[in-house]
Amino acid sequence: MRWAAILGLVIGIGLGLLAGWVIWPVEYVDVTPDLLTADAQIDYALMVATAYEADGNLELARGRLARLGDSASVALLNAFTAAEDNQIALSGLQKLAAELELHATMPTPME
Amino acid sequence: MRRPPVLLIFLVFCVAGIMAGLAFAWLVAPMQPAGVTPDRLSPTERELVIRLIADSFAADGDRDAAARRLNGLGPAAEGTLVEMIASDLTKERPSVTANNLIGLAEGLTIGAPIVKLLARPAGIPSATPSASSVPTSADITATPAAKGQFELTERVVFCSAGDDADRIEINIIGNNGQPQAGVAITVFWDDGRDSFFTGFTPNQGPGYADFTMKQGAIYSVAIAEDEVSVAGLEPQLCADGRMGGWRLEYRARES
Repeated sequence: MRWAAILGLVIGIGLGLLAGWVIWPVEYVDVTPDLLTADAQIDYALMVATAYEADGNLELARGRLARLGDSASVALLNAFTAAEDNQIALSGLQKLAAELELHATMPTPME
Repeated sequence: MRRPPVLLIFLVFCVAGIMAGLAFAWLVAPMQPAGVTPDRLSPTERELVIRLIADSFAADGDRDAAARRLNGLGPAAEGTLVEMIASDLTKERPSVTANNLIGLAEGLTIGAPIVKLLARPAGIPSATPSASSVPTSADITATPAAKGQFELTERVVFCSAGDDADRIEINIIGNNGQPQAGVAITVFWDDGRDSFFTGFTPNQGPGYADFTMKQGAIYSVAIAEDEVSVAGLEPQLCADGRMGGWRLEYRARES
């Protein structure tokens, strides 16, 4: 009797976890940018830098980047690679990185 | 007394286990997403991203990137953009912010009536100076202002948490490095001007004066007898949706 109860409970919990984590995992909606995919965060940082290059509004740029949470610095630095030959974005990224004191980890600006 | 069958006990505990497992997996420790796509952003965040797309498009004119980014926000994004343009009109948002949204809708050929109505006819230049032509604090060091009695040494946007700060704050530093009272400041806009003096706000120091901006107007500033040293000032949008202003600092030139 006791073994049937324990076995039933263990199998039940296992099935419940499988269902809750794999088959029907929680769907995230109405999220904030800090939960975006890495690529989407890099693109977001690129847009922030491009807009900053044009308007020079550091408060706005800083606030926008803050929405990426802890990933902001990483996204900003990875955006250097993603910017490729987009000079406006590159210039904005360099200014933002300097303002946010990311000099140490910042790639060497290309001539 | 009869005992319940083993199979029944097994099934009852199995169901209880499934419920406990589901509760743990959904409520206590849900699976963390590896990353969600932008179409899952909340409506508020989506609007902020649309503004970001518009500002970015205004800066680089990359239509393909703007279209890709807007489409990434889901099929309702274009409708949201049109609603934001209409909303900005009623709220009288700063013209640069509103114009960028209109420019994005125009650039992506969104055919909503309000976009057609507000779209700038070809050949007519914008009444608003382009943001890139406005000197930033970085530009100021590279290209000093025209010679005059006072030199602009700082020009930054500022925001006030939880409050609108749609004003121009001016600080004048004299030759001796101390704040200088009694300096005349003139602010110009499309159809008017106002003159005032530093030193009439004692709690801000003798070199301080400020001027409250109206949304939709664009301002220029001249100090004392100097020519206009700053143009294109208007309220700025802060990250929290409040209005921000400009903080200017001038130093008297060595005579």
